Order: sequence, then structure tokens, then C-alpha cells
Amino acid sequence: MKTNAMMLVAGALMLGPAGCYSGMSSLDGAESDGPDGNGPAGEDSAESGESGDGGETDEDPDTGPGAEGACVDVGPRMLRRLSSIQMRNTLVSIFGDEGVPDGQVLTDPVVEGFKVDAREAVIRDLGAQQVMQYAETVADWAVEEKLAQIVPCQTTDAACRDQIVRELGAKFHREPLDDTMAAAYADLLAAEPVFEDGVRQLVAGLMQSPYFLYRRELGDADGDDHFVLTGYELASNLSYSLTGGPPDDALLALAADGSLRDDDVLVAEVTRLVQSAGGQDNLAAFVESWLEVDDLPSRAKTEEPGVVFDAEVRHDMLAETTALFQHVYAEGGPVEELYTAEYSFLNQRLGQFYGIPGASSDQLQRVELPAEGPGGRAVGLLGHGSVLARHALVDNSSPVARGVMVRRRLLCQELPDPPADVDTNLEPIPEGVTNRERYEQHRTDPVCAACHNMIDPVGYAFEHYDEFGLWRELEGGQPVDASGSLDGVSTDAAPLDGLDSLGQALAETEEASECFTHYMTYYTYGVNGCHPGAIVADAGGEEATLQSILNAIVLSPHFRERVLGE
Amino acid sequence: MRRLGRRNFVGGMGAAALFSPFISLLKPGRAEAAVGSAKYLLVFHTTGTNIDLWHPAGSTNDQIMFSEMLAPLEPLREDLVIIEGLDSKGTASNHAAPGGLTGQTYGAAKISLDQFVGDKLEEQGVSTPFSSLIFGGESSQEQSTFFRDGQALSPLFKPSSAYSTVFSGISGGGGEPDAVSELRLARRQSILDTVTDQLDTLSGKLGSEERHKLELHADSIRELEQRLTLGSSGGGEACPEIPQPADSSESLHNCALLADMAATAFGCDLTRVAGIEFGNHQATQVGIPEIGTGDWHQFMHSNQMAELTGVERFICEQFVAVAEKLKTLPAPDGSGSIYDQTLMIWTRGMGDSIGHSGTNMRFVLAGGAGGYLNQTANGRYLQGGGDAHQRVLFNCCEAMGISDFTGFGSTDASAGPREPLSSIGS
Repeated sequence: MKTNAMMLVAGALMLGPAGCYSGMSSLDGAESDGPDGNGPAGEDSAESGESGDGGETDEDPDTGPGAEGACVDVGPRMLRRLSSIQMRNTLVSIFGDEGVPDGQVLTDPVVEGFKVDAREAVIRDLGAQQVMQYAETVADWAVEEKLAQIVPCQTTDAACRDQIVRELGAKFHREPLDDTMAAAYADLLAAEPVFEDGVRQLVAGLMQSPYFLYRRELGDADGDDHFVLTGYELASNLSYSLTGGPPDDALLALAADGSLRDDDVLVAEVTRLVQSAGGQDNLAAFVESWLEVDDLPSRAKTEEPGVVFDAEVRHDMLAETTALFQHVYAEGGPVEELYTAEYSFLNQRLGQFYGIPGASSDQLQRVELPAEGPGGRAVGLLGHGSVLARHALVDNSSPVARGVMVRRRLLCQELPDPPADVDTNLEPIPEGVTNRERYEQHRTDPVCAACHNMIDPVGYAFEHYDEFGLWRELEGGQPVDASGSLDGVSTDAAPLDGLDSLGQALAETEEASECFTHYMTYYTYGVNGCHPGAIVADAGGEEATLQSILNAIVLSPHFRERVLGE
Repeated sequence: MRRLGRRNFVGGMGAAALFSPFISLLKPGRAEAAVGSAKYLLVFHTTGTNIDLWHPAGSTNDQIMFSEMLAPLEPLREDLVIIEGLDSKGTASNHAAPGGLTGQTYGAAKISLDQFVGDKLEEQGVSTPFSSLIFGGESSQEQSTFFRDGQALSPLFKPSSAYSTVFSGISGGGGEPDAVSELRLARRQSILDTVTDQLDTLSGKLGSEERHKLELHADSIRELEQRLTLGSSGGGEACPEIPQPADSSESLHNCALLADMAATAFGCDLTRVAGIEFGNHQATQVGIPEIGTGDWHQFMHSNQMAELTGVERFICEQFVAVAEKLKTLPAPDGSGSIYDQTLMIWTRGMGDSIGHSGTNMRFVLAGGAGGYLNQTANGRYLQGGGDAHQRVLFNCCEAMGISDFTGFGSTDASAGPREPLSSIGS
């Protein structure tokens, strides 16, 4: 650990949101998300065509950085509402059928670019009604289509009722019911003279239950105002956080006998769950949201003769990024590998798009990348079409959009928005003028320069790649100048020339691995609960790998313990 | 077909209108209708625009000269009050800035106009199944338009789901035997009782901050129970049987359907306040032949002004369509239409969206508004002179019979007087 990130945080506190160079203020680690949780969430780093960048920040300007946290500080007892996809996955699992009716009754607030926020996801206003109606629809379907599969008996006596309630209830609650709870559900069944009506009521009731709708992080008391999550709570949190779905039988068995509380068992389960289909999907969802490329399929691009940037190519680009991330994770690679991998995963179509040989089928395969240049490709994620095309304008590259993405998503540095009274519109681009010359306006105006001196020199390193992510020698009729610099990080300011050099420079900063850890931690916890530096240290410091980072996130007290809270 | 229920609609233009105390405030065209006391607020919300292309150049206090973007509003000319040049005072200067309908910025415990007015009408004794309804937006994006207690609210964005929530969620539809609806109510009630008990149990284990989440859930159930009881006792107007709408892949088309649904909901008194958010600040994709293909946000930033103009005109057309529909719906009291008693307002979450600035905010107001608006035959155009845009939001409150704005809008000195603009109300 080369620098003390806490000092940077303190610096940010003093500078406030008005200054650039405010350091790693997104890394404060404290639970600082504002009461809205709806400040501009960097959903779209920047792509203002004529305006350079209007600027969007990752955090509410008001709330900014808070006090530092560390992983020994655990959060309050809480409930996390299922996301809409988690709810669907749970129902599919319970009924063993993809045909369960779709509801889309829950909305998932986007916070920090992810849809996992534990505080913002609530049921309010018309929410209870929407859940009720959806529950009734599913209950009708279940009785019509699945009755024999979901009930162990079909008589109207108390013993059968109890059996049904406990069996079905445990699936919806993801833990065994206690007697009081079982009796309440049994009453719903008993009130109905017709058996099917009773099951319909029971399913509708279970689906509206908070024990179905929320994951619980309450724990068993372990001393004053301190709680240790139960095996079942751990099982649910592990499963939903790592696979987006409910715990399977194996996990529930470890919950039942208490062994899931054991570190080794927990880590073994992390490994198993990440390897599952749901776990791989979850890694994909993370990397796409982290890099803000998930909406690439719907981004507008001006058509250009000879460039086929269709739905298939866009899909291939996302698949490439997902595959590299999953590969580095599976191989036990470090964060640096994401920025310096000299290989990628291409199919024939994407290979042809890039002009890179070696892929011969529809399936992605590992391809060694020729060195950056004509017919070559930059190393690591930054050279992926997904990143390059998503963080660009409709008809040109954008050094600002790309520079902002690096600062906010890869280094977790806060950038304030342009002052309200600044006209951020750039002059239309005259013939023969390069993008770079156009953006130089930022550097001459002192109002703009404070931030754009941080943003633009990073973005210039991308300039060999156009708005489709294709290599170019010329821009605006002139040779591309991809020189720039990366400063404002713990390492010495690095001169840049081309994207390879930026990838290398990022790999050498400790901010890059801490920032990755920040987003991974938030993605897992649904709150900002740990200083990423502490997680990285637990994960082996400079030896940390993607795997060891996720293991450290799960092993930390923040994942397994609770206090009562305010 | 629509049943008028207990409320009598006095058709035609009655002589009673001659005695209306509001008559002097009304334009000649509307002077014959006695305006009832029920008040409605319909809000359109969009992000900012290209302010130069939008600007109705040459307009005066007594005459609007429509720009190409605004031209589809022509049919409403005599009812329009257009105002520009208002300052959001820093509350609407960025993506997802929350100031448009709240006058407040990030972090504040803000409430949006629709929610505030809905609450106030309830305090005034208005009892409709929904105190307000919010529609539209983009499900894939952070919400940034409608707020309560500082928390962003999720509008109903799918027409099919909005339909089932608003029109068929409570009752099973017309003509159902009482016994059937009573049995359904009893079943629902027993489940909700069980759920409420469970929420209580869980709440007891949480600190107050986390408990708040479950309180919202419990409130949501309580409000649902009230609607269920109201629905089963035959309260409220009977709603027309409208077909379940099909969801479109086009967000703007969905918003058009939702706006129409809002008008229908007014017609059968399900609510008096509705808001429709067209698109969201960055994620709205468009693929409509008469507009073009692409990203609304990119239209602004990539100088695709033909497309941006297309979007603006499309929303103008929906604004007019809703107005025309409201004109066909008889008012529950008075002798005119619901339109005569509705304030329609088109607000924005930014001013100049190309420059991401909120220093030049604009509003389009229309509707009979119970005679509140200071209208002229050729349309009224006003310049805000840098006044806080929230003052127009106060005008909206005033039009709804609300004079106490406590709890709404910014109290910062920089926002200026917490008073409506005198030029808008009559």
C-alpha cells in the first residue's frame, strides 16, 4: 500500500465538491449515499456532442464523502428487498418452471450505476397493490398448472395443511417457518372449504409476505447490540449476491447445520456459486454495469459506409468484455490483468470487425492480440469495442466521455459538474480540425481547465479509436495524436501515448484495484459499507486477485455481522 | 359505457352560469359554463430542450407566435400561458437534478408538486381512491422527477401494468355480483392482515432508519385497504370500460397511452392529480418514423435538431390530445367539462439541456383551471425575468386552492419570495 487513501479522503473533505483533484472521494467507504440515492449516477458518463460534457457526477453533490469506514464497522440490522430479477429467479426456482407469469411489479432504483441498492429498493405507494395483483396472478397460475408439484398432500385436514404450509413456506421464506408463522398460514388454508382455493390463498399470501419480498440481515444476538447472521440469512445473502437467485439445497443444508458460518465452508461456497450459471451471469451483470456498457445495444450511432455496427456486433462486444472478466476471475488473476491482458475473446464476426485474425467460428475463442497499431489492438478492457463505442459520441470519439469514465469508474475520483453559468457548447467542428484541437478550448479557459486538465489528457490516449471502437490513423484529416498523461493518482504522473500506455499506467496505480473493490463491495452489500483499502489488504494487498477480493468482501464482518443501528 | 353515478351532470349551458361568481374572470368563450369547485392538476414533465429553437420569437403578452417546436399547441392557443426566463436557482442544472417539480436540490427532504397537491386536496376533504397518480419515465434509469420525503418515486411506466393497477386492481370490473366482490375482499383482507402482522414483527427488530422502509410498506398496504373498501362499497364514479392497452416498445408511445389513461382516471374520479414523465434524462430511445431513430439525449447533444423538434412536437400533440379528451368529460360539478376545472402544466427538469443549465426554465400552462389562469384570446406569453421557477409551481398550488406552501419548495433566500407570480393567475 503506497499511499494512505484516508489522507486523500480527508483532502476531499476539505476541498469539497467544488475542486477537482478531490482525490478518491468515492472511496470513502462510509455509508454516504444521500437520502435520495438519486443524484446523477453516472449512468452515462458523458457524450455531449457539441458540448464536450455536461458532466454527471456519481454522487449527490450535497452528500459527498463521509467519514471513513473500515470493514470492522458492521452495518445495522436490515432488510433488502429482492430486485425484480431476483424475485423472478426465486419464483422460477420455487415452481421449477420458466413459465411462471411475469410481473415486473418491482422497480429497481439505479444507484452508482447498479440496480442493487439496499436502501432505495422499497415497496411504497401503489407497490403493495401491484404485488397483491401479481401474487393473485401467480397463485391462479400455480393452482392451474402446478398444483400436484407444489403440495405434498391434497386433503383438507390439519395435518396436511401443516405439511403444505411448512413445505411451501420454507421455499418462499428461504428458511423453515416457526410455529406461529406456520399457524397463520394454515389459517388461510383452513378458511377455504375448497382445497384449490386454499392453496391459491396460501400462494398469494406467501408472495406478499415480507419474508418472501425481503432478504433478512437480522442475525442472532451475540452480546449487547451485536448480532451474527444466521446460517439461513447467510445462505440467502450469499446466493442472491453472487447468483441473483435463491439458495439451492446444498446451501440450505449448510445453513441448517450451521457450517456455513465457518470461513472455509463459506469460501468454498463462494467458489461453487460463482462457477454456477447464475454466478457467471452475475459477474457479467457486474462488469457491464461497472464499465457502464450495459446499454450499448441501444446507443445511437450515425451510420458510416462500410461499418456494420449492428445488434450482433454490439452483442459480441459485450460478450467479449464479459468473457475476459470471467476468465480473469476464474484464472485467479489480479485487477491489473483486466487492464493489461494481451489476449481477448473474439468470434469470427467481431474479429473481422476489429480486423484481428484468429477467430474462426461463431463461438468466442481466446485470441492473442497483435500489438496496438493498425491491425492490432490495445491490451485489456480499455481496448474492447464495448468500452470504446459506449463511451463515445454518436458520430465521433469523445476524449471527455472516456476520460470521465476512467476517472469515475476506474479510479473512483469525483469530478464536479461544470459551473452552472458556463456555456459548455463547443463550436461546431470546422473541416480539418481534430477532435483534440477542438477540446483544447477546455485547457485555455481557466474555469474549465481545473477539471478538464484531469479529464482530457486521459481521454486523448483513446484517440486512435473512433466512435465504433475501430482503429484510425487519421482524424479530421490529420494524423492522430494519442499522447496525454495520467496524474492525480498515487503513482508518479505517467506520460501516455496510446491506449496500451493508459492500461499499463492504470495497472500500476493502487487506486485502480481499490476502485474496482469499491464497486464490487457495493455490488455485493447493496450499501457502501467498507473502505476498499481494508478489503484489498484482507485480500492480500498487492497479491490480491479478483477471487481473493470477493472472498474478502464475503468474509468481512460487514457481510456476516450486524448491530441494531440508529 | 360511462355511468354518471350519483353525480348529476347538468348538460348544456345553464342559466345558472349567469350567476357564477367566476364569470368576470372567464374569457368570453367559456363564460356561459358554471365552473364547479372540483380541481384537477395534470402535469407533463420532460427534460430540457434547445431553448433557441423552442423560443416563440415575437410573442407578446397578448399573442403567442409559435415556434416550429410549439406549433402543434395551436388548438389550445386561447388557453395557453407560456413563460420562459425563469431560474431554477441551481436545482435543475444537471442530469437527474430534482428541481423541476420540487424547487429543491439533491439531499433535501423534498416533495414534488403532484404529491404536495395530492396531500393538500386530501386535507381539503377530497377523497378519491388515489391521491395522485404518476406515470411514465424509464424503468431502466434512476428516477428523478417525482419525490416524497426526499425519496424518488417510481412512476407506472408500462401501460398494461398501469391499467391493471388503476382500473382493474380494486374491483373485478362492472356487473359483478356483490357476493363475489365481498368474498374477494375478505380473502384479500385476511392475507393483508397476515402480512401486516409479519411486518410488525420484523419492524421490532430494526433500528429506526431501517424500520422506515417497512413503514412505507405498511402505509402502502393501509392505502390499499382503503381503496379496497371504497371499491367494494360502490364508492367513486364507475369507470368506462376501456380496453387493456398493449405495451409499445416505444417509450413515447407508452407515455401517450399513459397520458390518455390519466384523463380517463380524472373522468371517473379515481384521482384529481396526475403526472406523466415523458422519457427520462438520458436513456430514452426513439424509433418513430415521423420523429426519427436514436436517443433523445443524443438528439440534443449531436445537433440532431430535426429529431429533437420531432420529439417536442410529439409531446405538444399529446398535450393537446389530453386537453381535447378532458373537454369531452363532463365535470362532476358545475356545468362544463373537466377541462374547465383542470390546470394543465408542462414542466421541465432542466432549462437548456444542451448546456445542462437550469437558468432559463420554461412552462406551458393550459386548461380552464377553474378560471385561475390569466388567459387571452391569442395566447399569453410571459418572460420570467430570472425569478425562481418554483414561483410558477406556487401558482399551480394557488390554482388548486392552496395558499399555504409550507413544506414545499426551497426556502433559500436566493430563491426569492415564496409567492406565486402575479402575472400568471388572474
